[in-house]
Amino acid sequence: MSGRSARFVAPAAVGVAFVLLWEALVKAFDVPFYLVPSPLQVLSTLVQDAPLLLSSLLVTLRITALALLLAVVLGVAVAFLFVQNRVLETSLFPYVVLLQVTPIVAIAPLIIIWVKDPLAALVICATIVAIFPVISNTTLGLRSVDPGLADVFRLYGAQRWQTLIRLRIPSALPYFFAGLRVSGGLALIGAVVAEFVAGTGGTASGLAYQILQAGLQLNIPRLFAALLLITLAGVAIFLLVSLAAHLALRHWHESELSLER
Amino acid sequence: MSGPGTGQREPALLRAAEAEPARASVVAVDVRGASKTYPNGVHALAPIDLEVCAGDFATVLGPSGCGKSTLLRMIGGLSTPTAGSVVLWPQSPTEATMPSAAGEGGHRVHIAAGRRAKTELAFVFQSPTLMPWASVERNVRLPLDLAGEADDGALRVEAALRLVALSDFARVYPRELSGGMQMRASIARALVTEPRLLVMDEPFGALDEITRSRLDRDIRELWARRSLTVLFVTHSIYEAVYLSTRVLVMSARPGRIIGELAIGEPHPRTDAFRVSERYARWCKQLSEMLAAGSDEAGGTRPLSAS
Amino acid sequence: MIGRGCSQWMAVLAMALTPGFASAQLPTKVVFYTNWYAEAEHGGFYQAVAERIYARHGLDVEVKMGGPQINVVQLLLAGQADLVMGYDLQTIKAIEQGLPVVTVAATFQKDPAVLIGHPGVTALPDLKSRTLLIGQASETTFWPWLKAKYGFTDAQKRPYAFSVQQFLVDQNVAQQGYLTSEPYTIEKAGIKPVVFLLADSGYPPYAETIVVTTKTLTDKADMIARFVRGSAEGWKSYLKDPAPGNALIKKANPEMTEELMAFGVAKMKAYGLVTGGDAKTLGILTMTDSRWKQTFDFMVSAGLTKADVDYHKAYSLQFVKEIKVLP
Repeated sequence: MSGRSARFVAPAAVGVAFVLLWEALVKAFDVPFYLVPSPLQVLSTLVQDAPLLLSSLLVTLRITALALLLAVVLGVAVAFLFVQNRVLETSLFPYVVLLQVTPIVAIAPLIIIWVKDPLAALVICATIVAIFPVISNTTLGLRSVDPGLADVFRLYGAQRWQTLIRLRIPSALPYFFAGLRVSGGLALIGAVVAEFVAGTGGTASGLAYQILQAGLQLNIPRLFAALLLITLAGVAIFLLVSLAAHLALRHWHESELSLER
Repeated sequence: MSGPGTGQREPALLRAAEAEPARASVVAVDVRGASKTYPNGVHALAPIDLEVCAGDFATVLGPSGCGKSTLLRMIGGLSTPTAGSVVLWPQSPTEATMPSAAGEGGHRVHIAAGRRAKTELAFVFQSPTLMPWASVERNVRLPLDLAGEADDGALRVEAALRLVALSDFARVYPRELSGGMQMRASIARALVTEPRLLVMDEPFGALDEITRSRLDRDIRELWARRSLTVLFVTHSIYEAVYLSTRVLVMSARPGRIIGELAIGEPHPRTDAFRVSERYARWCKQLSEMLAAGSDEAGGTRPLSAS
Repeated sequence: MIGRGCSQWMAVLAMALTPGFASAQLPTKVVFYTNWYAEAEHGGFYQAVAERIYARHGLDVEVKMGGPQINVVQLLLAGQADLVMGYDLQTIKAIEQGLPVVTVAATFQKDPAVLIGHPGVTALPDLKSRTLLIGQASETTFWPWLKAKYGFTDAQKRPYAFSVQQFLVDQNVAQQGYLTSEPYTIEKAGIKPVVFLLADSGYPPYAETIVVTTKTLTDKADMIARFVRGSAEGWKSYLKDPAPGNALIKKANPEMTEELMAFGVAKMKAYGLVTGGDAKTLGILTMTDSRWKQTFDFMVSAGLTKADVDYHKAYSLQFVKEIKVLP
């Protein structure tokens, strides 16, 4: 099989094997459905509860998308700021690190209190979780300019903004996408955890709410179905970001080129 | 040849030799007593006096680490001398090429609004320094884009690519090119602005022998056809002899000019020249000068063509 | 003190003289999971441990604390607990899905869920114009019924973060709570809250029920009987003198204060949570068919469950019929 199709067939094969093993173990040990449902049961529940779960998935995805967008816009802006001024960077970076280590579980309830609108609060929480890799990686990328190219730009009298747009930004792109790959998943996690802890409820609720309710109501197959959806969403986000990276970098960056040329 | 720091010069030695057709004595590069000491105390360049005239193919030849690159960067405007001055085209000063006072220095390439960007100089580095995310065409166009003159850019880029025989590779990305081709693209970029002075810092050092000699031939061709002034740096005697009208020999660090050789061979210099006895003699002379330069700190033996 | 020690010796003597004592020498280990951190609302159970009431019944009971993310019924089903503290609406949902659980007793004859308003609110309908803080779990318990009965809307609802801070700073906010805790915290902060017990407005379920698996019901009925009896006696003792139980509560949950526990006990007595209603005549921890029917009908009309669910499977009166520990 060619290299290209192997990239899809191989993981799919692993997935199928895992599901078969799961089904076999559940049957073999006669595990009751209310502890670990079988894959078939999870899938049938997913189909059965599709309207409810899919609309919740949409809510969660919307929060994730907004948070990711915010993380990118704010994160890149902060990175630009840092690159302008070393003093600014050294004095503010430790506080940026705070963003990385803050346990969202602890502060989500506080944010819900301060920010009246629940959805806005969840977006803020998810942004906090997702923003650090963007800032860190983009700053590094903006600074990682080939000195030879920097000389060329200087020689031709490039103005600051020209250097920024034609040199720094393209140089930073691989690093930016590396950060984005991580941030995509983090935004999803942030959205789910924040909702879990702080909650929405009622009409505009996401998958975390469904998981919580399913647990309270002991609807274990639905709990697993919701978890499955979150997993699939995470994989989809990762693939999307990877695709974006591929499109942007495919002509030139080592990460996108195959080893054999 | 001037002694260290004296500022005296012997004009006869610094002009082109008799074998070359007489050129107008327009000075392209005027370096007086320029030296460079880095903040950490490293004395990279002893005071240098040197003059390059319009139409010269001047090569600075010296051992590794002698400060040739430092000198070139000062001439290119990428760094400033800690003492002395570096002036380009002193007889027709523009905003860009005002003489620099001691301790200051640096002159920007002049871009006149609304006029064609005719830069005073273009620089070719040791590595191609192409933007890997842009095609060859975009890379060559960079100086025009930075000057805001992309209108007839396409034509000028095409012309530049033709000069280096890369017309078929305009859409190709640098990674897909061989080392030699990348270097040619870099040269095309340097030429797209039709500079008066072309400064090249060991541009072919990383390439194989065959590619190197081909590019040597090409650059000499370009120099002759476009009436360029070229300031070339190399540590290869063979290259220096083949390419230059004048060779300036530098000593080891802290570098100073310890000798000059005017190579009065006519253009074109064929492959036959490369294997001729005259060629061998030029090379022998240069290697002796180099050896002398590494023995003592600075020698004062000017040698003539004979 | 001496009396206490004397009665303990009497108990030991009684145990020794009981037929089958030799086989009953080793008390049965029992794990009971509550629904939150240790608090006065669990007092009777801790008292039964502290006063060795369980021990007298031949049980070695370990009371484990639940918590915010702990799903005790799942623990029950996974075999990590012998009995757990559940609630009716959840048990009926479990039956709806074919889970093998059953309720054997109910601690609180009335659910302590309350709505709390600022001074000035006179009745529940007054809250229509306020911002209501409602917890996620309440979405599937009393919230649908509140909406239907009092015309509340989702638009006025905000998530309840289990902190009274929002209530304290905003006059326009009302929140859900537990009769025996949030009002205390609010009073301590200087506001005298207006408290509405949902049970008094028609919210029918029991609270803090004792739930076991059907398998345990079949195999270990004797143990369950002893546990229920011991717990009922524990509650009677706790309401008389909560000190021993409180000591254990504090040990398990160091954050707990004497004041809060005293407040809880006072409220439980004032509203007759443990000893009121049917408990007065049928004994502490009792349940009735009619109450269960009420709860089931409530769920159906609130759209929380399907009408064809056999809710009788959710409970068994076999123990509470026999055990009559009158308050």
